[in-house]
Amino acid sequence: MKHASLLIIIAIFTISPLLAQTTDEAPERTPAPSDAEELKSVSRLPEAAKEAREAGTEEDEIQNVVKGVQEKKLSPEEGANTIRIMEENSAEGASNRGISDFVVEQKAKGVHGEDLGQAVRTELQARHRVRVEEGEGKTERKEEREGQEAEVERESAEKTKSETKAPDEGDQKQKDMKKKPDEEQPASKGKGKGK
Amino acid sequence: MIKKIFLIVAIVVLVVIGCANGNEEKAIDQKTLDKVAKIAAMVEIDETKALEMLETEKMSVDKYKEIITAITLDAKATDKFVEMKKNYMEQYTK
Repeated sequence: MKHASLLIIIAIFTISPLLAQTTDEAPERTPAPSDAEELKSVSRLPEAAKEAREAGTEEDEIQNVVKGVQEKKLSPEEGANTIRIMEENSAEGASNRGISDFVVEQKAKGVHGEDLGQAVRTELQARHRVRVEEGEGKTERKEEREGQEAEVERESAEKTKSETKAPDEGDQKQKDMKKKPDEEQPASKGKGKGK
Repeated sequence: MIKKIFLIVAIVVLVVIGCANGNEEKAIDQKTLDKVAKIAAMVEIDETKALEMLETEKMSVDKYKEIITAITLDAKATDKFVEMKKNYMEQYTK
């Protein structure tokens, strides 16, 4: 008797997942006109994720955004939009680390829809600006050093030029003086012969 | 003693079957992938028809959303889905 009851209990536990599966297939609610938009934006989520993966977007970030949609923290449109922004950012060679957390935080603060997309873009731009400024700081110092070196080289080159130019000009004048009488001689010779 | 052993074996077998069923539920089979790819392709062409397809498949928008997000989390399933959707879109536009 004891064994039989135990077996029944176990059988119920094994059959329950199958029953749950069949009940899931029943329609939960009839589609309303607004469902069309949701259907459209959800359908575009895999394509956005595929393109982002191909662009080199961090898998963790994609997964977190999709999980956000799954857990209804983000709407499918917001999810797809965020993934597309991350893809654009990856294409520029920038990192998206922590963007999924940022999106969920912003959404919790009440930022949604296009504003959320704009917030993500601004955040990424701000991060990019910081990185560029850090890079520029390094290059500026390098350029300063190079500029100083170039100036010293230019000055020394100018000095050597002016030193070499001065004797050359003197030689040229002397050569001109020598040439002038030579040029006049054949003319005077010709005149003499004609007479 | 033999009865006890038989009972333990039976329990183990039933638990294993139960777990296997649970895992099957999580994985996205080819049939489901095909169903949602068809609907996704139709959404791009005719939203009303896509909603009708959803109704005939006895699938709610939430269920569809759940399946699509599960596909998106799996890179291989995503690639398959995108390819299938593309093919169905070509078929529907012809």
